[in-house]
Amino acid sequence: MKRKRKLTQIQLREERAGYAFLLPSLIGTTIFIIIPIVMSLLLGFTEWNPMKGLAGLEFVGMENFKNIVDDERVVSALRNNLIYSFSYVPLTISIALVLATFLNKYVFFKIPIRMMTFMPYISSLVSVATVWMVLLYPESGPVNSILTNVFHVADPPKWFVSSQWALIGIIMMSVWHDVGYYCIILLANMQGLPQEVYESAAVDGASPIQTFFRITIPMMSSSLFFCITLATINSFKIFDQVNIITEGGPGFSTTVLVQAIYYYAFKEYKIGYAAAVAIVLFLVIFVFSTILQKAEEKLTY
Amino acid sequence: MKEKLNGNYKAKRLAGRIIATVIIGGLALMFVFPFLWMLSTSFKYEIDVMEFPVRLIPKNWNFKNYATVFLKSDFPGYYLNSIKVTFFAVAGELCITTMAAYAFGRLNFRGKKFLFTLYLSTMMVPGQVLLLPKYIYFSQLHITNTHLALILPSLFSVFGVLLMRQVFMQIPFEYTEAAYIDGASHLRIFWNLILPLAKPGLMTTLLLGFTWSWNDYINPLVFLSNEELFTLTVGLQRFQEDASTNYALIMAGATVSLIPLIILFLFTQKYFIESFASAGVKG
Repeated sequence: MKRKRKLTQIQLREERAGYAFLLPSLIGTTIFIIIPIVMSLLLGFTEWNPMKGLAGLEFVGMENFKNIVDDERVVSALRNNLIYSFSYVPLTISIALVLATFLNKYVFFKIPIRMMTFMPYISSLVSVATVWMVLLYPESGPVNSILTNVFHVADPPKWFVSSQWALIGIIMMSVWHDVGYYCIILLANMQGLPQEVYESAAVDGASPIQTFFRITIPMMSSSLFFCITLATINSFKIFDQVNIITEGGPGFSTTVLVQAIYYYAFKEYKIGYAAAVAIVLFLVIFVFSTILQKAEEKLTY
Repeated sequence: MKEKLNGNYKAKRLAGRIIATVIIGGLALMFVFPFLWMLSTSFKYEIDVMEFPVRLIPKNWNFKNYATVFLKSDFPGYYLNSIKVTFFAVAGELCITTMAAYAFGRLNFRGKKFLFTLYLSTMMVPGQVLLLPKYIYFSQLHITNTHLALILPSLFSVFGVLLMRQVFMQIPFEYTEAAYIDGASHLRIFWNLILPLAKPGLMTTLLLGFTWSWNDYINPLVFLSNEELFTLTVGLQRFQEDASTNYALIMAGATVSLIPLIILFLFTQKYFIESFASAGVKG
């Protein structure tokens, strides 16, 4: 039974302060986050060209979603997003984990090495994408001239101008950009692991590789899951590097969902349709984070 | 006998460590190679850019690229715009998020649980989904093509609120109880007791907010069409389109756009790395 209690003078003062402190944030969050989320959901079921003003708004039910299924741009985007995530996440997390393991124990110059690997992450994607674009320039760019002259590759990849290699180039660049971030998260968690377990493993004569697979990975499982989830969610939001380097091309070979949203909303002014693509993006992220959460509940202790 | 074994073991360990350092150090060099190449190319003549073997120290030094970037392009303006937007976005975000975090972390009021759950649940939605409604708002309010369109939404970072709430909750309540009973107002407690104790947390929010705001690309891309308002990210894109195949010049532009954050990072790397790591660990 809940009894309506009378608040004391002090509690009342605290409550008033609570609302006052929260108010600016609450107003802003409502206007800029909560209402937009609801608006986005509703817009997905409409057709609207903002050039015609609010009068041009028309409710069309499920039509946008029916069109999405046959839309080559969105279908390619979804496919590219999946290929990207399924390669980017395992690559990034495994490199980060190996790097963190070495930095935790087995190398000298920890701090400069950690700093060097983290540097790409704080750099703007626009700037580093510009650099990579020139590095991977197919005709006599530095990477390809090393490939031909040092490794004698007769026909080096055409990278961002080839529909076969462009997405691979984007994946490489993104892994390079983000590894340092996941490395420092894993490293921070690794440094918090109990040292006794490692000591007793060393006494028992376990090799570093055994220690890594039998001790480090199981003990790190929850922070690994955290990183995998974070990396997966972020990987579906990829936009900057794609828009700078290839603008989704050649053809639709590197287009991604956020870019499709951007294209439909701000190039073709189909706001309703773009909102429907945004809903698809949200659903994809939601499904993957739910799966990962369920997997974590099963696999970690 | 035992000593010799021990010595052997130690020598082996040392050798292992040296080998590991060489391998991992080589890998780390690959992480900085693009930066070094960018920097050296920015000092080259266009004709030397695609030379082989790849030289990291230019054969002939060329300083004209930087003269072009600073004197003949709009980069100085992009700089000022980025500084302005980042300053107001971060300062405002710090005020608003710490206040909300104080309410959520240290005060009791009716509806707190509901509101907090509401905040948490918005974290599920990717930021790009909000782009279209924001665009509609801002065009109705006629503030597209102003810096306000970039600053305003970034003041209300839910992530910042959650982060600072964690920080505030770790400060023992005994610290503030005495002041409270003596009748100090919550504003005083917040300003004089809580904030000074939360300095490392504030640093985290500041650095994350700064990096995010400085590097933001999609918002200026969508909301700004007037070139005079461009920030560094969209500015660099425009610069690169204009320079077309003048790669040495493009690399000078890229270097200029990266330098402030990289210098800040080199001098405060410990705080940077701790900030990003702690946000991840707590997240």
